[in-house]
Amino acid sequence: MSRQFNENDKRALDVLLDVMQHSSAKSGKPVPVPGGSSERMQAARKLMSLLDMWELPEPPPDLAARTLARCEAEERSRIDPNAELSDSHFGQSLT
Amino acid sequence: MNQPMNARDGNSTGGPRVRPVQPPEKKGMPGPRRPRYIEGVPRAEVSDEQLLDQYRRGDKASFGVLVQRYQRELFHFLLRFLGNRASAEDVFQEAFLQVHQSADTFDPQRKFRPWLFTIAANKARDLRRAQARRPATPLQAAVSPHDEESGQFIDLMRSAAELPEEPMERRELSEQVKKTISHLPDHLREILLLSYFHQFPYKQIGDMLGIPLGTVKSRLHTAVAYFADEWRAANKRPNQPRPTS
Repeated sequence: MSRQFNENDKRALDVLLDVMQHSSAKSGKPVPVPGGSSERMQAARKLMSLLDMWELPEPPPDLAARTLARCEAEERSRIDPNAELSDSHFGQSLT
Repeated sequence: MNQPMNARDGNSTGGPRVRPVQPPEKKGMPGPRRPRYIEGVPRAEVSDEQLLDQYRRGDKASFGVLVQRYQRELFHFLLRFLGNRASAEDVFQEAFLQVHQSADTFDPQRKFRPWLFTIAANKARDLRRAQARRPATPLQAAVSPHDEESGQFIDLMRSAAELPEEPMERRELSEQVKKTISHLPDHLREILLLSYFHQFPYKQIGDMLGIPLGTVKSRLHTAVAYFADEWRAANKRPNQPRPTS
């Protein structure tokens, strides 16, 4: 069985996210959960703020380089399908 | 309270439109020498769409700028969606490989960011489907993709007011949020991630996922309600075991 909010709660969520998205689009930066005057808006803000507690590690520093190396290897194999893709093809010149 | 570790961290959201540079040579990956300017504009300030256009015209380094620009945000999206670092790294690479392969088909009238996230979300979903041969957890089975408009009603204010009775370390809170969201079915979790953490508008999410606006809304409402209910339930139990992963 699914859980659902009532219509007022749904509207509060929509308004909250809409404000965040518009602020983000204007500033070009993510915005924190905005405050709200009504009790329901404050509850929605508080609930969504919990999500911000989810901390994530940074991506590995070589992720971009490995990604580019993988694309480079694919490009090489496309140009020369008979070329062997050994490990030596990856991570060179792009680190 | 932490700020959202989300949308466009370190990314440009647009920049001055500049005329394309002459294609230096055939398309390929960036070499070690990367010019920092495109016709006098710092590369970091050039829009995503402009960078992709430059790449299509043969400017190898532009692709590298795009990868680096989205390294953090896309990795975090995939990590939240897949819950596994190795999988997130792999899908990140596959997504950009797809961008590399499909660059010539990109419609320059479109925005690059939603296109990239659409590719990444599709690949992440493919991986999850492949992994779905394993038995689903009871919580995953509890929410059917077809019953988003029906079910029990919960109270937003009551749910939101519930916090752990005892202070929790930041890391424990983070783990609890992660665990609660990870129990959401994929089709609900991806909406929550795209909408809240990455702040895509509802309509754009609908376009990205190929679903109607109403479905985007109903899935988001269900996802948040589910999170609220699970969070409240988890923090209501006095002797609740702390999540470990």
